[in-house]
Amino acid sequence: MHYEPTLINSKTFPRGSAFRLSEQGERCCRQVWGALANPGVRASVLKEGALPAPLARTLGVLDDRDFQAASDAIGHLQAEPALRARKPSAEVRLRRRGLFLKLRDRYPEAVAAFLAARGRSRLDTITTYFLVWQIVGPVFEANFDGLEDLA
Amino acid sequence: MWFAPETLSVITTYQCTAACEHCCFSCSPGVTRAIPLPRLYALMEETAEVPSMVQVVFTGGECFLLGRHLDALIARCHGRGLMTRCVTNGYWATSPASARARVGELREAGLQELNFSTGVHHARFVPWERVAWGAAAAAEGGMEGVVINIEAFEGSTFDVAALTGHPLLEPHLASGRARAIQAPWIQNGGEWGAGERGGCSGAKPLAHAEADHRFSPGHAAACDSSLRVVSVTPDLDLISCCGLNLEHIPEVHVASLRHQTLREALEGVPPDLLKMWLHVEGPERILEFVKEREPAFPLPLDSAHICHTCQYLHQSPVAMAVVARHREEVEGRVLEAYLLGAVSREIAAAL
Repeated sequence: MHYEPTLINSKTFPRGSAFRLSEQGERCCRQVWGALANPGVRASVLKEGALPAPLARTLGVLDDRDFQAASDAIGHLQAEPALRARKPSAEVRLRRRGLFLKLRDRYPEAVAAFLAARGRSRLDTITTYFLVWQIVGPVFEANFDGLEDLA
Repeated sequence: MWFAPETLSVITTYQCTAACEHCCFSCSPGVTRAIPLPRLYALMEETAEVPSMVQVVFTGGECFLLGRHLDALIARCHGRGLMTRCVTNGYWATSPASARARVGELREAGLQELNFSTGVHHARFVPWERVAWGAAAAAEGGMEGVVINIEAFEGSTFDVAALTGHPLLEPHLASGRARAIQAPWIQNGGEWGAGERGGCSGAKPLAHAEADHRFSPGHAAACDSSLRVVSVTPDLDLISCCGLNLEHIPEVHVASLRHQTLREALEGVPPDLLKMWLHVEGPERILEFVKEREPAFPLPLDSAHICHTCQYLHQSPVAMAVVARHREEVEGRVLEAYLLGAVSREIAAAL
């Protein structure tokens, strides 16, 4: 039983209660958010406009070759803001599709699994999710058993 | 911190120029509780210190009762790179000219979005024409998010066509520069319980069309507000969502800002599975999960608002016990979905 009618910020705030996460859940949660708060990760995303290399490498998600390939694929998107337009032209949609296929060719298992699990097909979405999966996936695998069916 | 709120909704005061039946916070002219001004100014600075924050929403009560302080607060946010929105009943737009003048001042301060509330209950206190004038002025002035929220419930006699067909407003609605939305008006009183100040306990119960019921096909949805929006009440409680039913759900009061900054308060909130679950699947799905395990459990099939369903969930000892008993069953799934969504927003924003 984890429903704990505990006091939140009990010194100043004697109201409310929380469904606390399990220890492994909390560890997982803090690792992911901690990674995002990591200046190296953020700098990688914000400045290099690439996969969050420090984290991806630290976690062993991607080896150097895969990392470069993924960076290249994502780099195409970042180099051309039009590709991220909310209302893309037919041409942009075609190019998005092309890039998606390229990404899928390079990472067939990960992308196929992701599409199947999420029912998503748009390139902008899948690209973002693909990046995200690099962060969240391994943390989950390290903390939870039997999650392979989710991926 | 294990969540990254994007919007701070500031319930500046419970005082309002109106005293609508079923007002979610039981606001009225006679209620004077408000966030002290120095704290309000400090809060803007504190919001800018939270990296994930992108927007401050001024609401109430009636936020325009702040007078010139509203302009100054908006300007302070604007200067820190935060977007701003005001939610108002439009009482201040007493003519097309005065509406244009006030909107111009706010625009100059940096206001980007202006939302109006009207309908049968509001119109008893604020003529709907003021909403039309105010919204038209905002659209003319180039504001981005001009939205009129119209109370919707069964038997409402509000003349929606008169509002949307108002000659000053209609062109803006047609062009998409302004929007009018009919949204279910939340019952506050009757079987759902009166507000803390008891203001609506005698109000006539509301009913909603079956098509609006949250359990009707296609209506149930995740709560976009839980953990993405945090609110501050006039009592300086920090709320983990937009807080429409904050008076009925103690669990959404997650911290106090009386003796700590916003960032300190956010960092002190422990990871909470139920709030994540609400965020990724919404209260209807959680209650359906409960019903699958307790077939006799009655679903609130007439709920027409996500906050109502959420209140029902939190106030049901049976539902809370089932969630507690089966939490391990859902933790991995919920946490994964929550983190994927949260991290993807971070990355998408960064890209």
